[in-house]
Amino acid sequence: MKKFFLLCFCLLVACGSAFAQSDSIMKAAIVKGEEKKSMNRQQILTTGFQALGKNLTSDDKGLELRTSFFSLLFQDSLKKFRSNNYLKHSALRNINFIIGGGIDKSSKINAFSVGLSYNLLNLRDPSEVSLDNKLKGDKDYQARSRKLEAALAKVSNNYKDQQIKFLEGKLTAFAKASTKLKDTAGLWEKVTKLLPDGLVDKIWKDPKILVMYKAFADAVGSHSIDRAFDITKYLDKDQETVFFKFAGFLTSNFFADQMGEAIRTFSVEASKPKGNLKNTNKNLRDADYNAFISELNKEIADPQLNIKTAAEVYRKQQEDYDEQIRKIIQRPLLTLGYVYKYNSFGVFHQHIPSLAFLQGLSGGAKKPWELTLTLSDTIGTNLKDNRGGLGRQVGNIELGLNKVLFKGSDDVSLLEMKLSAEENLVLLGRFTDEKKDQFFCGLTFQGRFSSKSPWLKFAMKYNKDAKFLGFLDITLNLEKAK
Amino acid sequence: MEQVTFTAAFFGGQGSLDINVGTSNISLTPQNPTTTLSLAEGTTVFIVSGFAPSSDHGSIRFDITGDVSPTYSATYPQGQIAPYPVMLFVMPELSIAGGTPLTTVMSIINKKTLNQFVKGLKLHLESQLLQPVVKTKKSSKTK
Repeated sequence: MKKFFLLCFCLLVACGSAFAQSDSIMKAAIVKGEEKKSMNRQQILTTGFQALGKNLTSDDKGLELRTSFFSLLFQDSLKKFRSNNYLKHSALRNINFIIGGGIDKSSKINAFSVGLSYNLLNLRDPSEVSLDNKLKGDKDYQARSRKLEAALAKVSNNYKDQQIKFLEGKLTAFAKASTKLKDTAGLWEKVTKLLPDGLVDKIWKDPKILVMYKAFADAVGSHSIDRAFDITKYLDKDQETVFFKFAGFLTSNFFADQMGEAIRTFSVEASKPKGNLKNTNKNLRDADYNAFISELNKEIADPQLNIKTAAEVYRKQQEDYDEQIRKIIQRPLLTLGYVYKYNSFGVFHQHIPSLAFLQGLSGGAKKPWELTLTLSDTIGTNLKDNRGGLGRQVGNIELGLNKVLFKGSDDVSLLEMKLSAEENLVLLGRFTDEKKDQFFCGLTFQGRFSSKSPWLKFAMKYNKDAKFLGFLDITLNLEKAK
Repeated sequence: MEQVTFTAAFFGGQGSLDINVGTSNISLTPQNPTTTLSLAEGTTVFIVSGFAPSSDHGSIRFDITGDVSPTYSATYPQGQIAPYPVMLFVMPELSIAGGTPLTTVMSIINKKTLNQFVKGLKLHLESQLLQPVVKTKKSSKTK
């Protein structure tokens, strides 16, 4: 059993190391992907690292650790997750490594298991699909995309032209005042006062800004050209051109960049069902932001496409995208597995080949139904009588229907229900008074409080002879974004 | 015309990043992750959209570098990248000290030296441009 703990330790270290290499944004994306899958899907094939506590309320508890081989690859995360490398290792992502142990009622370890499972149908993996090509076939999606991009380009160009014109006017006025005084006294202060308060410090972090200012100031004043700052390309031009370019430079570095980021935030928030569409950028005036959005709405309104606002278009585009993803993750999944189990009592050695099949039944529905079919054959040999051959063989078939009942605001499954029918067939080595076959009806609820909390699974089974049986499992996805 | 380079590093599978610049459209993919365009000087609007790989490990790191100010970097998590504008100033490379490109100087000097450079430039600007009135007063007092 010492080996069991050693293996668990190695597995934990290996998985921990693999994720320790990831940067926080990528890590968050990885975790988000796993969180969005249904529990039904995660139990059959995980792409991360999962711990499962089985039958916690019974005398025969178990612990299982499951991970994909790809998660165990020791590579720098930038290389490991780079698309070309990631796609090359498709097979490793589809193999799960399983290790587990059992604990009896006196808290002694009484079983150990190790196994593999492989996804034979690699159809559910969205990483292999080009969504761009998928959505290009959707005429409405394409029409809205074109409309949105054209409107954004037009309004952005208007915004930057107006901003440049405003700054150019101010700079020209400063220059005229400076010419009257025959020097550039206070020019620097005047220019910095034009900039958003929160961004003035940025000037001292980018020498390019200072050099551009120097070009402007030299064009304004009567200073001799300092050869230490050779900006002849600008000084060769007439004064008006220098002013225009400096206004464009200031617009890009202090105003348009802020507006661009604000519109990016708007696009992300508008894609959500209840996103915050207000300006959250302290370096951008609410009036400018609201004017931009208002102009964008006017530009994009199109009765033919049934479009009224930009936010509406962003939301529709996101819904179309989500539907495509849901269709992909509803495709069939078929895994072939093998687990070796050692018991310290009864049938010592067990070999368990299995097949698991999963098929979505609801297309792109938000709360889908899924069909589950699992077949397994437990082949046991008994070391005690040293026969080495088959001691006991039990076949199992389970047919289930899983339904997502409730989803959180971030589109993650929070509550699922599964109806199942199960048949156990003792093919060899029946115990005394044991029936050859047993039929069970099952009802399982599995839920979690949020995408970050563990799954709790409560399964009830009914058999006309064995009455009601209840099991409680807990599943924890161990990758957490920091 | 100035050279502007668009680079996208894709993580976690298939994806694409489209950049619309006026009449030019470029599409970056894991197989074609970088493109350079020749663009006219001035403030330019780029409309960025696309799809970060839709997998558990999907993300894109995007950079716009070259003759632009400011340079641009963004990271997109897995999923759709809804269109949004990026507005940058396309400009010729600035040079200092007899023609050495500013970016070359900045890339080869360490942080300490860069700080010294900025400090020196600040003093230069302050002495020449910020305080001429004070200087005049001082000099008149001396007289």
